[in-house]
Amino acid sequence: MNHSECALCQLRDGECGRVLTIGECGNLRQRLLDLGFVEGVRVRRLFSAPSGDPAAYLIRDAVIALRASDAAGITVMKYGFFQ
Amino acid sequence: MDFFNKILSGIRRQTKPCDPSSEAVIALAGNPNVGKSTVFNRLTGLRQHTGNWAGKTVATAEGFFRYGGRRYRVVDIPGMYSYSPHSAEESAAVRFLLSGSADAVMVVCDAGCLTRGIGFVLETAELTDNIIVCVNLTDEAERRGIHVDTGRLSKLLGLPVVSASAAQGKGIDELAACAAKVCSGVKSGAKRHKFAVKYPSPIEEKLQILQSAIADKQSDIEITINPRYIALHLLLNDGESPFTDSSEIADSFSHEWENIKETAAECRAELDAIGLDREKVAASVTSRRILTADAIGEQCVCKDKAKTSRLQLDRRLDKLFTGRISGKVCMLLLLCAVFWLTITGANYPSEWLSEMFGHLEVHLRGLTETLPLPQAVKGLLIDGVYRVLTRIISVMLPPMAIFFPLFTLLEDSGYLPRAAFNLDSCLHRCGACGKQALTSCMGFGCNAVGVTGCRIIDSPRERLLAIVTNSFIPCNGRFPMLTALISMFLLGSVAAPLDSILGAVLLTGLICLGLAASFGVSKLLSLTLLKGVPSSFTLELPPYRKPKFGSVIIRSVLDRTLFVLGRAAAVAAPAGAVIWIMSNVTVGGDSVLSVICRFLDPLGKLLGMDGVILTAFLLGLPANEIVIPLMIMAYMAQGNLTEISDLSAIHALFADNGWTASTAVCTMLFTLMHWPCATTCVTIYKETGSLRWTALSIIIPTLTGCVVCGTVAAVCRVLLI
Repeated sequence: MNHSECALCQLRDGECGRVLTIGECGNLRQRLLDLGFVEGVRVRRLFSAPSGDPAAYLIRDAVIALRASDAAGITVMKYGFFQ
Repeated sequence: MDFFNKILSGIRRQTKPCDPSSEAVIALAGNPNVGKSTVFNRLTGLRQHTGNWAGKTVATAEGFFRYGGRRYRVVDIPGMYSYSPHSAEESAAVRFLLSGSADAVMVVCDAGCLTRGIGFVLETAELTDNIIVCVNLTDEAERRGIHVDTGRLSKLLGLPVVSASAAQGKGIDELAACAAKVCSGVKSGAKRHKFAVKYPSPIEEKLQILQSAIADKQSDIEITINPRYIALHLLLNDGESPFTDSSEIADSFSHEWENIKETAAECRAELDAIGLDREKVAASVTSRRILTADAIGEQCVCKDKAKTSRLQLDRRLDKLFTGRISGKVCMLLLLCAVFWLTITGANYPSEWLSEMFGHLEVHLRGLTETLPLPQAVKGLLIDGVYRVLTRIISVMLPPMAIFFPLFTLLEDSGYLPRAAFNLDSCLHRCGACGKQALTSCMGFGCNAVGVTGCRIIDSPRERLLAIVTNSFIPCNGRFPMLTALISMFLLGSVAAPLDSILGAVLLTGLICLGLAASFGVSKLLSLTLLKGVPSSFTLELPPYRKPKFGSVIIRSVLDRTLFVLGRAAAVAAPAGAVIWIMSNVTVGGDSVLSVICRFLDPLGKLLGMDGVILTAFLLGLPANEIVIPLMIMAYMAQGNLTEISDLSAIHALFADNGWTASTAVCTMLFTLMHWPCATTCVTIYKETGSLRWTALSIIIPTLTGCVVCGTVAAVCRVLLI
């Protein structure tokens, strides 16, 4: 597995990552923080909507759907497909 | 927000006169979709509507329970993710908790998603000391192999924790007992040693300074919430008071406010100097709280890795319901199936009911003959009130009684958020919010409810879009009208078993057309009157839950169906009387009704309908349920047909009055797109607070309907000639 930084929306279905930073997300920033998108928390992209956007992410035992444009502000350390 | 003030003043008004020692107020708070309403219902014995999706409770509900001779008022407030609110419903919830109206806060957590719940408990603990933690949905979590050690959680948090499974009624007595204990602790002033999150050192130092500054003044200012919360709020919001909206507290606060504000400004400046701006502080505070919650959760939650089959089932279902092709197919098939069951199931009871009412009418007529009443009164009662009323029951009740439970099953299962998830990209392109799909779904039940539900949408622009376009979704008052018209005019051409399937497909098509119209109008509005970029949104997809069939059916038949029917009947009786009077009072040899109908006839013809249909729609403004019964009545008043026993007789009556398939199609389209009913209009005015938007919500669907019907009628005329 190769560790690399990428935006949350760039994860493919099934891939996991660890949240690094939340950038400019406007008024969504606090909501994302509240949902658990804070540094060090593990997140996994589960599946996408029929058109590919939005996508559903598993974070802290909850499934949250985010649009790609909103997830673009979150940087994650990708670590592949394993659990 | 006047909504909040109403709650606040309501509570003040009601609590002031009675002895404060006799009643305690408990607020029910927590993340969305953790079963707060179920806990509320179990505690108070009320039947607040529940569903498996976040944002279902948009207004607060109140109830009571008694324990140990004392009365407890329970306030069910909308779910929220944190105390930094995003939407109107969330800020109402936050402000209620800040107002100090509650003696204790019961924080409900989902055992399957405990760490998030703990995070919310930690935040609440900064606000008040009187907390009862309820770990709900434990049965569901156990099935997923998640076990929560509540004893340990209680020890770690320093707060009373009760494990419950409210849907099964487990742990409710313990909750009541615990709440009573906490509330009596309030009276004696006993303090608990509770856990507090320690923030990173520079922030924590400033918090301590501010906290003690506020605590010094707290005896002068009458606030019941903890100084730590106020201190944190000051640091995060540039010294802005957390009480901007509850003026009473703000007033008492303002005297001492300036000093505290200065201290806050100093603290802020010092933090800025070391590179911690507001956003960084917010991120650092939230992340520390969340990581603390995770650490606590880790010590109390035991996950059985072997029992993950439920989780895998969820993922497989998600794959099916949100797949590229299967997602769309499933959505259409589900809609079709629901409609098919409704149409097929509603036919027979409809016939039985109208037959029964027919017999009853003969007896009633006989009965009235024996009474010394003037002929006009008898006609008014039997031909007016009785007939319209019974027709509503026989035409409207069966589809409603079938559709509602089916819809509630879908709602309980957790499918609705997935539908919103699928439709989001469509709505995104229309400049609207993905949650609009949820409010549209609520519109199936009742447009007024759908409009209120729009509070879950954060951005005001997108909320207006959802409100204006909600009436394109046929509510259950219009929905049986569509089924009746379809079965009368568009079916019967193919073999019997295929007939009802064709009906369901046609109805699905119509609903999709309504949806398409709402999308189109959203797009049009966001290009013109409501310009703006689509804002961000987050949507939680809850775990699938097996709906409980028994309670669903009882609940939806008793609560929703009877409520809606009752409202329709309340409107139908006077409307029946009015139309009877109109058809019997004559002006220059013609009845008032026929004069109006004749006046509207040219416009009706232009739209592919006729004057009677338009008149019925106009008179149906209070409730759409009465439109078809009004049409029947108006036609009968003009002709000499008196016996209407079933749908085929109605068909014959309509056909006699010049109805063709194209009339039926235009009527159905107009049913789908015309002014919202009176209740919805009032709700729109309440929600938007603007006459302009209320007017637009009436004009836009009506105009759309006129254009669509006019076009269809013109095309039909050309094709048929």
